[in-house]
Amino acid sequence: MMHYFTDPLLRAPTIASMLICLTTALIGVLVFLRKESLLGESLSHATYPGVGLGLLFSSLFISSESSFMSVFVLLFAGVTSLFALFCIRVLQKRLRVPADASLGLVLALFFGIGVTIASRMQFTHTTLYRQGQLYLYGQTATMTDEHILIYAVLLLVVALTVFLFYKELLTLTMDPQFADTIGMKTSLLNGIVAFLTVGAIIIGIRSVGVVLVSAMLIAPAASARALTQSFKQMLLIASLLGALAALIGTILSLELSYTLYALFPEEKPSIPAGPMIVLVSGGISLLCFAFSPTTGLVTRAIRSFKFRTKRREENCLKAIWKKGGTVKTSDLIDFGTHRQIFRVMRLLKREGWVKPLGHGEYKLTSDGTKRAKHIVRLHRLWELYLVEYLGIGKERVHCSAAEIEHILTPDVERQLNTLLHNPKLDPHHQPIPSGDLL
Amino acid sequence: MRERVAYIPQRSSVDWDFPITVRELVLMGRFGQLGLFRFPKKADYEAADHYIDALGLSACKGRQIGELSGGQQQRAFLARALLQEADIYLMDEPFQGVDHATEEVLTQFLNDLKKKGKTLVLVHHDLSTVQERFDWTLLLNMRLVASGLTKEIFSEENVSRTYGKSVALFERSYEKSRKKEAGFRS
Repeated sequence: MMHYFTDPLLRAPTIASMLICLTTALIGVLVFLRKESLLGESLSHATYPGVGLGLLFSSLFISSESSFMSVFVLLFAGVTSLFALFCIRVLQKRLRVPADASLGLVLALFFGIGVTIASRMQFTHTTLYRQGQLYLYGQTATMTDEHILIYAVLLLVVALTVFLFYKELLTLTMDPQFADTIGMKTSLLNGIVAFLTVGAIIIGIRSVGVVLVSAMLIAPAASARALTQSFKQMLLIASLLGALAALIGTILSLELSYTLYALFPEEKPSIPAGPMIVLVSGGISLLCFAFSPTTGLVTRAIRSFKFRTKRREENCLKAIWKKGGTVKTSDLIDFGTHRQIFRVMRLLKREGWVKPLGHGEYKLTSDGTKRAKHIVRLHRLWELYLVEYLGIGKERVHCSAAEIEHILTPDVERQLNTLLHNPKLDPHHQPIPSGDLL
Repeated sequence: MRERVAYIPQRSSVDWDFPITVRELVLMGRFGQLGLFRFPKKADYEAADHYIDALGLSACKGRQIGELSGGQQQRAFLARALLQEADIYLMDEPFQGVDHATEEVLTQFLNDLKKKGKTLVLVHHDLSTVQERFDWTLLLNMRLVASGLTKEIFSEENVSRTYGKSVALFERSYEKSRKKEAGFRS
């Protein structure tokens, strides 16, 4: 794998792509948190006419082989993209066109102009047209060491701006009104954010292309948001995920191309890196959404499974205690299937709460007895609380208590105990086990 | 001038999903004094922690703001405003949707600020508490209805003029004529 960083032909696409995607991901966090994800989409499509014009303009002065050509292209792309931003703002603010409509309109309009220019160039400037296509879907393979340098400098500029204006960007994104009241120059800052956004887009189009660059703005930010609750960490994580997607995407596109080429040499198949990077980034996002510590589906499933196991453990302990301390596993069939009960008994044994007597018989240990009594205590405290304080009939409190006994924390237990004046009997005149058990 | 004004936004205008913890939010109160290219120092963090403690938020200072209760959220924003150490406090409905305990804490802090000679300007919609809480009242309905010492102008007549139907009708027709002037089709 190291040869992707050392081989003179491979290192430029790999490293430059990583730098590019790191930059777009960093700015993407701002775009994402400002809830302007679709703006990125419109602005990236609006670079396309700039690409065509830039190529035509630069061909008047320099040969089409020079890598300075890309500087002109990026410059023109930036100008048309900024102009699109201006058009969107005018449509929204002056002409009262709804936000989504103005974004859609500008996207289609500018991209349409770009396609028109490109289709004309196809016949008049065939070489330039082919170069233009590099920017439409991105092409990493043709990047050279000079590109590494260019994109490293651009990343440095962007990252330094974010670092220096960290305080301001945080405030402006989180609470623009507050930024105003403490005297931050919000219109200047909004201008900086606009320049950064357009900057990130024109940096990104060389790698993943006009059509897909907005994915590299948003996907790493959305992934990072699922993983963290802090702005600072979100900037770091998004950048890392952006770079990671670029690395894996580049490697995958090359390796898959080799494999396919070995299988079907006559068709000359090749997997482009740009779309692959976007696919990998999308995959990373899905993983992050699934394993997000707060909202992830998998995380929640695991948490729910753990809770159900705990509930079954506690119910079994309680049942053994009520049956006098010794049971056969067949007595516990109310609490789950044979396999579930078997698993629970193994867990209880590991905790040292039950001792196997053989032939499917188990006996509570002294620790296990304490534990069981504590659960009963919580159950009966809660029943008493419902009857005394909420006036619920004592025949109706059992079900609620059977659920809540697995959830109550020691803190709540203490509060209940104080509130109920250290009670000895529950509403059904059963003794409440004393509190100093655990 | 700007450094002397602290502002607490209306709850509904805050993005509660924003990835920021209570401590980071309160620290924003210092950003105005720090100015460009300067980062908060240890003393700023300590000052933030001081107000977090004072408002009983120590237990949740590492939590994201959306995870707090309504009252805690309001106290967090108050802590940020207090950290600004301003002279004038502008608050947009600070009592909206908070629990009783928070309402008392808020009132106590606002009274303390008043005693220190600070100016507090609140947007308020609970008519029952106006008289006990405010010295000066400004009744607004699109335009100024009445302004003056609360005990002088907070009368039934003025209040019904503020909320009354006749006023609303007048405003609607006024608005219409203004729009026609600006060239809109009615």
